[in-house]
Amino acid sequence: MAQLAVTVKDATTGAALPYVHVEADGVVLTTGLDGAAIFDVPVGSTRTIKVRNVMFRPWSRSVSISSERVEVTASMEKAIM
Amino acid sequence: MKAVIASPFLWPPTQLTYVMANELESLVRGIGWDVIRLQGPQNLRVFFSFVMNSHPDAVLIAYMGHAGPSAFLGEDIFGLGILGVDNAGEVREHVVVGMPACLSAQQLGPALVKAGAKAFVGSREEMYAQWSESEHDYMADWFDYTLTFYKSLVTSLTAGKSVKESLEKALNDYRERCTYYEQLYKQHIQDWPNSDFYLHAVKQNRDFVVGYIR
Repeated sequence: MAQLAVTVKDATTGAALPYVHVEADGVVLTTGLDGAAIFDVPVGSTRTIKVRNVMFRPWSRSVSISSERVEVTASMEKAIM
Repeated sequence: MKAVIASPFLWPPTQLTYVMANELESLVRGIGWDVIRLQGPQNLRVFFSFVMNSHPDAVLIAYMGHAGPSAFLGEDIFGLGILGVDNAGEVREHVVVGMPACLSAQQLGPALVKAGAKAFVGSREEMYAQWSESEHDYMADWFDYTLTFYKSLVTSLTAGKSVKESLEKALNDYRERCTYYEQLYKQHIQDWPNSDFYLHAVKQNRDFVVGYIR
């Protein structure tokens, strides 16, 4: 198994965003105080990540798990007026 | 007839509403109105007051940017904003619309109408921006349903309809257009990866927009 580490940040301030909903192919985690959510995934697979918080633009990407640890940063743009 | 369009730029996502305001200006000019713009950094209270004093004949004041329960914030998002409950009398006899803008129907809208504004339209909750994503141009949809409101309102006022009649028709047209996009996003909930968020956004942008008439 590999680790897929998704770190969620505020695109404007660069601050880590805790308590954000991160989904990887139906598996849902919540980011910790460091803004990170870490999934155990098979090496060689592809995962579709969705990051959702009601205050921010949605963030969705497909990621290939090509090594034992893949790190992804989701920079979230403010969505409310 | 004349409209004032206030469109701040500095704080995300007002870069998007600034572009929307450009389209609104073209739309309103196309119907034959004059337009006074408060552009980007001009969205400070001193400029707003100057414009209101200089153009008392403006029928419509349209604000597109950040707002709170008691003020349109303009570029002064940590301060009093350009129009708040404390200077509500500046828009006496005007039709005021805060859209897209968050929360302004909670306190600002009722205060403006109480102070003599002919009408107010805004949202009781947050309003969402929409972006162009890889699978679909949600931003074009957002521009379409928001500008549907303004086009309907300005067209009715130009035709001589009452403020009440014009506002009710514009709100109905707006809600119908939002519902069209709500249904579209529901249809694509499985194959458009961001449609879940935008389904929430368009519903919220529809369901909490209200109008107050003097």
